Amino acid sequence: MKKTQRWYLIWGALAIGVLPLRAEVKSTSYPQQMLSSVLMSSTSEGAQSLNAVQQQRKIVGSVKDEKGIGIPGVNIKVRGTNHNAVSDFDGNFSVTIDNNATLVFTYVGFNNQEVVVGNKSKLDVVLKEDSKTLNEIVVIGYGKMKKGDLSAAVSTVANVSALQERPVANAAEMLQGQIPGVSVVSNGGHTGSTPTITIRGMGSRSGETPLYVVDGVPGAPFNFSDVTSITVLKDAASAAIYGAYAGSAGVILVTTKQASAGKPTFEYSVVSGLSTSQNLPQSLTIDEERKVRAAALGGEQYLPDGWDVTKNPYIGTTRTDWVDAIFRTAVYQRHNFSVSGGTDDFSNRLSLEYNDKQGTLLNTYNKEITARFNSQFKFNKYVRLREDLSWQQSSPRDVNTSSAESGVLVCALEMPRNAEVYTADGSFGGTAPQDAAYIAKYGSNYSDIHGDVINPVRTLTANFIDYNLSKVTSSTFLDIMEPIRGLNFTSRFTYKTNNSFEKDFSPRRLEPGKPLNKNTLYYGSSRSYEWNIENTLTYDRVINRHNIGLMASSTTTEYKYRDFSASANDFQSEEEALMYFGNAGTYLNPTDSYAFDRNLSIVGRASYSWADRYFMTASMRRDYAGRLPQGHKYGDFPSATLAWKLTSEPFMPKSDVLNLLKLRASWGRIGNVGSIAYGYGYPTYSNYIFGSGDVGQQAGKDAPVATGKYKANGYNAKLTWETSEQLDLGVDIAMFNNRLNVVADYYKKKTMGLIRQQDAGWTSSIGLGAMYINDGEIHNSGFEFAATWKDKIGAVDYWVSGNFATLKNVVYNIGAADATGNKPVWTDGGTFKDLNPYRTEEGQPLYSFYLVKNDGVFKTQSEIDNYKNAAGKLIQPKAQVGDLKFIDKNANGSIDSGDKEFMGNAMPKLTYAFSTGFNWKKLSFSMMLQGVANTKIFNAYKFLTLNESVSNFNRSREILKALDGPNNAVPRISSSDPNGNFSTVSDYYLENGSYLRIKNVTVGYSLTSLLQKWNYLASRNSSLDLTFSVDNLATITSYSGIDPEVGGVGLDGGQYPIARTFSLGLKLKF
Amino acid sequence: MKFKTISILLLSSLTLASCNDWMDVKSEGTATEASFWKSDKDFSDALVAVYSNMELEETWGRNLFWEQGASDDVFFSRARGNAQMNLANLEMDGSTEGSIKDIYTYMYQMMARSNNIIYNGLKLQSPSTAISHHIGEAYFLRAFSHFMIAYRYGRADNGVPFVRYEDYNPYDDSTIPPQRATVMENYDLIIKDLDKAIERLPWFNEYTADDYGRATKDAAIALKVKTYAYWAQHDKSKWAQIPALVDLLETGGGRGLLDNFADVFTVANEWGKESIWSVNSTGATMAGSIFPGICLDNKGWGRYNGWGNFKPTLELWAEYDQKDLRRPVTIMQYGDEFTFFGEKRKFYSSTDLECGFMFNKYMDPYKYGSVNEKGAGVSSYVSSNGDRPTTDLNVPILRFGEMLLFKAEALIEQGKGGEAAPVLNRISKRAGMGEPYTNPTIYDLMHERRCELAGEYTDRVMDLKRWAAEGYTIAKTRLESSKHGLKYLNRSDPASALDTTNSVEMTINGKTYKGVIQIMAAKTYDATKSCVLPYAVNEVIKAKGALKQNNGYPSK
Repeated sequence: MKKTQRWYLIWGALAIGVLPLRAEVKSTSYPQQMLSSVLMSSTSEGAQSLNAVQQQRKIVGSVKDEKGIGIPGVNIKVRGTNHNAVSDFDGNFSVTIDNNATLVFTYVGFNNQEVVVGNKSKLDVVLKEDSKTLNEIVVIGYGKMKKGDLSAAVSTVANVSALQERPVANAAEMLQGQIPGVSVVSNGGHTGSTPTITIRGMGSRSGETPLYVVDGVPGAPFNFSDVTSITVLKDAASAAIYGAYAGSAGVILVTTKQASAGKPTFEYSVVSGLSTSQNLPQSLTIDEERKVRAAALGGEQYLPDGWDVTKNPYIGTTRTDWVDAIFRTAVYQRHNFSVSGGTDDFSNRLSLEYNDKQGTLLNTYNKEITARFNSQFKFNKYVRLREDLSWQQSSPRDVNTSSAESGVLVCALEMPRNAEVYTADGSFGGTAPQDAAYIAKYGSNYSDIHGDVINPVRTLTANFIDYNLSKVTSSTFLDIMEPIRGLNFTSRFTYKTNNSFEKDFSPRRLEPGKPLNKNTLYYGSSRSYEWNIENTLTYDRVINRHNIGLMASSTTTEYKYRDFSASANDFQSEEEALMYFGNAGTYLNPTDSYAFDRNLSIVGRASYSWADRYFMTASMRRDYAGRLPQGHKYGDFPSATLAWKLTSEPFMPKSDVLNLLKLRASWGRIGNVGSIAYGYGYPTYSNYIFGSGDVGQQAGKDAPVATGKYKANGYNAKLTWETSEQLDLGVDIAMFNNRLNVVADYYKKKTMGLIRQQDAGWTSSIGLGAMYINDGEIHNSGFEFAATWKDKIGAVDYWVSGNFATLKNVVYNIGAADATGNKPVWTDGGTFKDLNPYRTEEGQPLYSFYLVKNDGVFKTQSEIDNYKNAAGKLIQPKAQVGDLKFIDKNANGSIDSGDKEFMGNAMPKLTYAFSTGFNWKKLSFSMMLQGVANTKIFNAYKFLTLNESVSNFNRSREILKALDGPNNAVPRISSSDPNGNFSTVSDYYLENGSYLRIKNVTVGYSLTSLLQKWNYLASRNSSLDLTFSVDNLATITSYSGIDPEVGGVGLDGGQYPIARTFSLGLKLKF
Repeated sequence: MKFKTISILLLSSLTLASCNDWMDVKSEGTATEASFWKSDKDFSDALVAVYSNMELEETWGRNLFWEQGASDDVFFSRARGNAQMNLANLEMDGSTEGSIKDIYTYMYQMMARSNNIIYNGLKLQSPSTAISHHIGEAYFLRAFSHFMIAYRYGRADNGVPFVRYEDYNPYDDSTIPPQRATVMENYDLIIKDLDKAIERLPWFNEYTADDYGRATKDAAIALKVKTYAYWAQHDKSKWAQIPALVDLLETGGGRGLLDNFADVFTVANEWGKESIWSVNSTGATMAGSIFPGICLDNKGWGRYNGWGNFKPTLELWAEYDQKDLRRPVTIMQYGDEFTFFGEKRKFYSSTDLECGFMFNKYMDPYKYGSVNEKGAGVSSYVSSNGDRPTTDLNVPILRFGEMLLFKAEALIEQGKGGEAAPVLNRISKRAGMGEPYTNPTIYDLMHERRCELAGEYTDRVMDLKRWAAEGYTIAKTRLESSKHGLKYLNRSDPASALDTTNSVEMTINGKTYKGVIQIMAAKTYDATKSCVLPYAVNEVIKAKGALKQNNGYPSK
């Protein structure tokens, strides 16, 4: 804490230190420079000094749009002076002018307008909407730029406000389908996780997450409803400016609503919806299960006694639909309330949001409340102080669906349907009756005929969980504005602190299935802080036709994390009021942990453009990562871009057909250390913690618990940055009076020196976990294309837009070959039970599926008898009719690992989206379709749901197909699977993962005119809008699993499906 | 320092040279290489992490026993996939047998962790007595885990990977342990480690209860005996080493046979004179081996979460003489009375695949406790977690009974049948079979060994493989034979008659049985290949040429 206070002091000193600087330059007045280069070039310096001594007066007026509605926030400048004003919420303004003044009105999304005042004392100006989105201001790293001047691959999300009306709870969900090359894959319907964003292909083996930069602050939280723009820096040249922070995944810049001058305005919006899950599987009834089990064992006579209704009457009735029991219709709601107002010198904004998302699985939810306060103090025209304070508290409750043992979707299918969710006494039911009288009468409850499966309703509801995570972030900005013309300085101090507290009580599980006659109370608590200080100096000048920009910045970060947890067992009572440590019988060893990190970076950028024709930038960044070993801490990440705007060339005729033609090229590098643990430079011994808090120990008569210590992994003292290098070539085209806009890019991204655990050359016999090394190279390349057509037919504004991206992922280098010339392979990716379908080899995509090919099922015995290799050896001697026929690729007469071949991977080679919409008077409509093609999914869920050789579980009804005779969809039912239909890692599991989804349909209706019948509300420029939307309306796919959007690297073990949501929204402003 | 901090903040771009201290981020929480290996406790904690691997389901909990599916004694009474069936059918391919891969990984972890203890212990100038003992334990554990790999994977023409950190200075983590040319070289290194362990370790009788379960001089000597016995298939002269070592266990260590065979497998006698080396287990803390729960009938008649994986075959039952006291201790058959959570009940098994028997050696801890109102068995002797059903019964790995059998075998193999007779008679006398041997043959030894050790981790399948290697064709026959069980008319009735219509009559070991069903088909034993396990194909690939696959198995 002391240290923290010191930093505050230092920062304060810094702020005070620059104040005299302001005083010195106060006496000199320089004209404000505008972003518009057109204006810049027409301003002559000589004219300013002439005007400087003329008489001054005030003029008032209003700015309206073409519909006659006042526009707030319009920038009004008196040309040639530094007088300026901003219109209020009704569009009114007042400004001091000289005689002969020319006023310049600028507002994003509208054409600039110049008005000569003359003798007028009141001005009413109408601004025309700018169809040329080229003049749109785009937020880039450490600055802003006109979209038309971009020389890097930077994409913006077009209509953020429309997307906000959807019942989505995070920016990632919103990004799906919006930008070509940005792949957003939902991790199912989990309430506790956000979708995975991959920008331009997977380069790192350790996973990559893009960096969110919110109003210039990396990783700051934000209110979803406050977002005004989202920019994705796709190429390395633009992301390089964030260097280490960016990771190799790219950067997403978010800007949010800020405090602005004007009368207080209130806004309230609500989105509320109902969600359901579709396409759910169903399990066998108890009679069907008996039939399937008998078939598996070879006949009714081999069924164990538990299947005999006379010996075990409980087996006679189907009682529960387990799938129905775990799913529900879920409610979604989001409320946002904000108020904003102030003067030019002091303004502030308060925004409160409540987000309550229920999952469609029972008792899963995420509740979040966020408050954000934002204010600005302008001391004078040189010094401004901004503060952004946010507090967020979330309480998620999620459930595991990926575990082959306890995942609720797996369990829902594996539970026998004669079992009950609750028994007569209100306790949870198990696979068989846990009833002393029943056992006494029938000799057993015959739970042995069922597998070890947990009642999934219990998994979802039995635990008492009180978890909340509280995040507070404060960012303070000090802006020194143009003490010297073109020079700006911003100093930012951000402090984030996260606190979490969890109490989790797991009651005893007495019912048959997976009994656990032990209850546990767990408390976990953690606290972390992170501060960072960033100082940025920029200098922008336009001198004649030269546009020069310089930027230098440094960032310092410190992060610290501590946690502590304790648990206890053997509570006599499981009443909520007694779930406290004082009532425990046994206390387990508490655990704690610590993490600490420091980083330092410096970055510089220079940009230059000439005559709006040639654009170039170059940047250099050096990052020091504290976690890396001494001597290997820093990495250098340069970038450069070039662009040529052909339409600005004198030789190009001005035409309405071709409004813009610009060629772009960029190159850059970024670094990544995300997968390296904090403090890697000083490896520690690991504690041996056995199972769930139980610790193993061989010594001592009653084996008391003790903690073991061991070296877990090999240590590499030379570990350093993973680097990603990207080349981008692009073209921007605007045609037909800017009605058609096209952006196309080709990129090639190389990720080098991959940080990964060594595979090749690291064997189990070393006895340690593989050490981290920098090795290997992965290439991603692809085309991206986006086009938008916007036009008007009478009163109807409509737009159509589409985008697609291709992706080619190749592992280019995988390490040195061995003495015999064999190249190493990587075998990680994931396993489900004993199935490991992954292999990565040079020339193949990352995480390729490497499988034995099947050729459907044997239909006749003669097919089996004739299936021999060249030498006449019977290839599948154990096969029977209905078993899978595997291809003996190496023709050695047996099916083994030598028969495996590469069969693609889960990364879609094509992603696309299409959207359209129109506005007609008060009605608006939009629709978005999104899809992926040429992708594979390994449907491992089949291993448990269609395979009778795994324990005694209930199965999916799909298995009944096998009883109809030899069937390609489901191989022969067998209790031992001698042919290896399921244990063979074959393409029987591999399915086409392509899909096309109607992601969203929204209909909106404006009730503003109704509202404005009240004069007061009309005078306040009030508005009221209603929306109705459907998310995930329909999905077209041939995938046989629950949902083709399985996430990860395409291993589907029964994913929590994405819900279809119908929602209503209302937005009120007054 | 303060000045530096300030300068970094204000002028970080200009003072990078001085930021090294500030950027020197250290980790906390557990010891680092530099701060560890000082106190007695450091060495003791490091040993816990070696011993702990013995408690895993993946080692002595269950996985090691899957191999016994290939023997004539054991049957998987629940349907299994190819991951285990390949082992049982002697059709390993190096890619499918996931359970074996786990054993391999955990044994090499034990070797690496022991190596680290030895390496750092030897660097100490004057280690305390405790540390010196701990180094001895590490020598034993390195030898023990090394042996587990050597006799499973090692061939006369292809040894197993093994490294001693102390042979290098300094040792580099990332060195792949060199594969030894022959398994004899491995056995030699194991014996060397055991000799160092014997120098440093106390006898079991010198330990107090707090240290029970730690490696002992007794265990090191016993493991030497077993190592020589396996070495002998490649070099007959090694038999000569065994008798004196076994005698030493008795004279020096005070080891011996308990009077009553049934007492060997009781919680009360788990630290008795017959025990030498076992997985120390406790029900309440869930520490130790889950093997008793694995052998218990599936779901324990509704009382407890038995897993019911392994059952004895009719072939094993037929090996015993009717009067042999070891038979009821080893195998439960229909109608046998036993106590289960305080209740008397009679054995039947209606679960899963039918064979009519159950192993009885690990049933002692289930005697105690009571049945609660829901019908479930509750006891302080067994784990409350059905996912980890450990009990208070230690699971034996090496016991004195086996040592006497090795002594007898060594004498027989040296042509000293006469000297072997009294040794073997001690075993048979305790079994209630008197003292029948005057000049026992290897076949008498095979009979006694099978009867005495059935259902234990002493490794029936590897016994058969080594006997086959020594040229006894009966061992190959046993490995290849089909396996059988008994079929009852009413599986849920302990008094049920045999079902003679859906079964056959069959003569096994000279005795004729009714109601016989085949539970596993005959298979082929290819001694040139299946005498050892295949290395996992992935392990061979990753070794980049440093690991040669065993004969006959795929390496890609």
